Amino acid sequence: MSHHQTGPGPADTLAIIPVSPTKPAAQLTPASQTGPAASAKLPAAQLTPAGGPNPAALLAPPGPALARIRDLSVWYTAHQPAAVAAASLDILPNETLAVVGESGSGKTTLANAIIGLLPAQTRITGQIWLGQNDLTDLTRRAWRSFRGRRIGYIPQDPMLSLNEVWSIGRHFRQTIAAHHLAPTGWRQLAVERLAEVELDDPHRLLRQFPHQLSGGMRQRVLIALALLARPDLIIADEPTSALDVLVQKRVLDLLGSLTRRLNASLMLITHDLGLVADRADRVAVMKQGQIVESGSTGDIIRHPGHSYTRQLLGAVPRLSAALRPRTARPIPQAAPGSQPEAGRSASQPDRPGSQPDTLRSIPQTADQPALNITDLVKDYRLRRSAKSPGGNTLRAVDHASFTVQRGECLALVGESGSGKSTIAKLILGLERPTAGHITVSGLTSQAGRRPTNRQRQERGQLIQVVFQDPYASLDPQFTVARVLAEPLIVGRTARSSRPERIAQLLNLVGLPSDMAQRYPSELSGGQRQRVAIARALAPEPDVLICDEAVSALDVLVQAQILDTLGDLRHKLGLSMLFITHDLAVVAEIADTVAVITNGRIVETGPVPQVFADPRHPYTRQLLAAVPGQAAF
Amino acid sequence: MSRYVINRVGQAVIVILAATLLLYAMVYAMPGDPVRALVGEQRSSQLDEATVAQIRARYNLDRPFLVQYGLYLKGVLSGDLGTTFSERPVTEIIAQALPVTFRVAVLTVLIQAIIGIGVGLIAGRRRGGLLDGSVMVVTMVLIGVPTFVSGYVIQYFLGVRWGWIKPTVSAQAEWSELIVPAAVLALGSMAFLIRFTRSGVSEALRADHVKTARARGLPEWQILISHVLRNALIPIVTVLGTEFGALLGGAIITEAVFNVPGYGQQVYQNIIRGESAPTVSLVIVMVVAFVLVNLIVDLLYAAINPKVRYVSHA
Repeated sequence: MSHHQTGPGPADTLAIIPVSPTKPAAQLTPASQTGPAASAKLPAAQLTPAGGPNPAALLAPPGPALARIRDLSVWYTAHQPAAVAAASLDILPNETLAVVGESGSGKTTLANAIIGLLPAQTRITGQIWLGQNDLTDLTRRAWRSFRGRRIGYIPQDPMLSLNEVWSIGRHFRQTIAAHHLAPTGWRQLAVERLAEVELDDPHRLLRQFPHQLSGGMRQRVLIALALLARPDLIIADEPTSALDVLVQKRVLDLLGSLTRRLNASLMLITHDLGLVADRADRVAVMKQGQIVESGSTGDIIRHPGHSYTRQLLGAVPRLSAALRPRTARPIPQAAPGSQPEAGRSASQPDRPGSQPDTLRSIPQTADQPALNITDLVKDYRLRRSAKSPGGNTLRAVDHASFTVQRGECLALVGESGSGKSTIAKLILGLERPTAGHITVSGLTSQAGRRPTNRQRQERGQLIQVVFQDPYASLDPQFTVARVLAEPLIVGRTARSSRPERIAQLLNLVGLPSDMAQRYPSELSGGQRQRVAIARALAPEPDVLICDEAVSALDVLVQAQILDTLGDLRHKLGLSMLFITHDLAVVAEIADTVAVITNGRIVETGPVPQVFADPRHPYTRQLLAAVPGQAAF
Repeated sequence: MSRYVINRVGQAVIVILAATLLLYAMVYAMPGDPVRALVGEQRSSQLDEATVAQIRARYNLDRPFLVQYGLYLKGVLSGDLGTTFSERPVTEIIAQALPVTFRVAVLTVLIQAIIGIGVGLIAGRRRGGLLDGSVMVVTMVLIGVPTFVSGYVIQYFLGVRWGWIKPTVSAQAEWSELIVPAAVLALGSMAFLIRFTRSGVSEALRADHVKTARARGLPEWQILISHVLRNALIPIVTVLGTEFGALLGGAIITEAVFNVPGYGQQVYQNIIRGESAPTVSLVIVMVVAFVLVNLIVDLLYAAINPKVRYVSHA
């Protein structure tokens, strides 16, 4: 950064970015002649790669930049604000540049602009220089010698980014042919490149179809495809946000070593500041289309200049939080019986009397654990196949046992496919266990018995769930009031007291009461998740299951929701089963942790103890893979 | 793959057996005496008991239902589909009418596939454009016009007014004569196919894998054909296949307009004449054709969608 060059070190080689955190944002918005009303972009002659119309702001970098973005603005429609607003940025040779920001900050639009994949009706002003070529000026034909050849692209979701109807081999063949990379034979090259991304048996892989590969394998195939033509610039848009933490580490290690070996630059679009801290040389922070701050990763993390950057850094869930003293359990063992209810009425002194505790057929005693599962087993029958003609069973949950004490938050941690969500389904009664017991506040359900409607209802009063995706878990046709009324109707709350109760629930999760009349589409992701939490709290459950409840949220929103959940635990004396794959989130919120892999719980214990001294090798592996440990 | 094929063939056999049983039972349960239908209302009162018994015995009408069905099935398996009242074998009727209908069906599906998929692809690529808008209006009109209207109008202008074609089809029903009837038949469902292709294409265009393919620098034609249309085709093949199967049952109205000696006309005439046994046979052949075509479509579906192919023995 120009404003605090600190002598020798990486700062010397940094490109100079005309946006400094001390400049007011107003200066960064496009000037009126480049606004939506303006007809065309400036002639390229006005801005040369060597400088610009205002050289004071664009100090020439010491080394030649690989790519220079100058005053880039992008409008999707004329009546929307610019998705990218006057962004200027250099990408240096052989560097990893991270672009961070919330969703909607314009980071993906910036990436799409560089690789020329913005929709046809998009309006662009400014320049994107790659060497001597302004990419914003290219014809469709000319683009073909850049896309895939000079610029490689690695997509976010490997599950959706390969064409399911073609074999892996066909993907390679088409790409190799498009760039005339192997005039003598594509297969040889494809096999080499698959081996390069550390995939076994490449010959067999070429015959396979995408759905036969795991997410991590698919992402490695996509990396091999992106690097086929040996591009100088690789753009990776959230390349591992859909992958498990162990797979994420492998894929990023691979991507890092390949870009270094090939002398390419990597532009890493991400919302994960832990990743940035570990892997990026420089960072650009985006907010509402503007690059509000950029500089070397170390500088930005240690001395963030912009308040938004500080906000982002403050919101990062930290593994080190595990070592903070755990907050005392809100319900002392000494006061059995009445305590949970007392905890609740303290937080809601004006609760209407229409929620009589007689609804609950189970007597509450504090010496009973809130939730206990013992020797839980769930088998799924698989289809018959050639290998096992008699049909096969998959043991999704294998003799799992744990206890959530009253007022405790237990985190169930595992990768996708570990069985953690199956356990949630079993506890909620959405699936029936093959063997074992589940006890919720003294109410035990046996394996093999189909619960009666009454049992289901009782269980619904005791235990509720918040799911991962607030965009999918709320009916778009329902107003917030109707979403929240549903559990109240089931719980036989009198019609007259429902509006008041709905307002209370909204306030409880930090939303204004007038939000009741809105539809989910009018709410942000965080607001939706708050509504989902309010709905789960409506029947006053003893236990709240959060199934990846903060995983789909932006880092700032995630921090807020975690705060809210923490508050609610203390106010309401809630017990919580927090299902997640994110160990840093566990460190922030949970008291105890259970680590699950292949349906088996391999380690259980208090969070500080397990995180400081993990016993099981799998736990150690998981902890080691958490990004950003050195920085946060 | 082989397991999938065996499964599907087994299912088809069961469907055909069930359909024949159901049809036979329905005709069996129909009111009216088959002997009367055979000899006619007036003469049946003049028949003596012995003759009636003789006729019943000849057509197995004196046996229990399941035995009758079994004997019928045995006949069918040995190639005997029964005869009409005028002693004409049903197999002969089928041999005459089915090829004509087959030609009409092939032409119809070809016209639909070429125009429907082509126009749908262009409209879906530029969704919201001028061409897309006009295509939508035209297809809306096409959906609204019934075949007997479009059939008569086209017959009048092309055949009578301008004399470009013969207004009716000859007894030979050559391929070339059948193009216009097939086009009329194609019109109605073509609108549906265009819309189906259009939405499939515009959805496929937004897919992540298409974006990634573009980012790899594949030429635009390859993206359209191999990544957009190829994926959009998967459900379209099912639509076209079902359409073909349905067309093999004949198209009574269009065949009537253009005087096509097809399957629909035969079924219609047999129903009108009250020929119950030939009707059952004709309809059963229709069912078998429909099931077979759907079986082929399912196997084709597996061939173009690797996910179906491999999941079935994973």
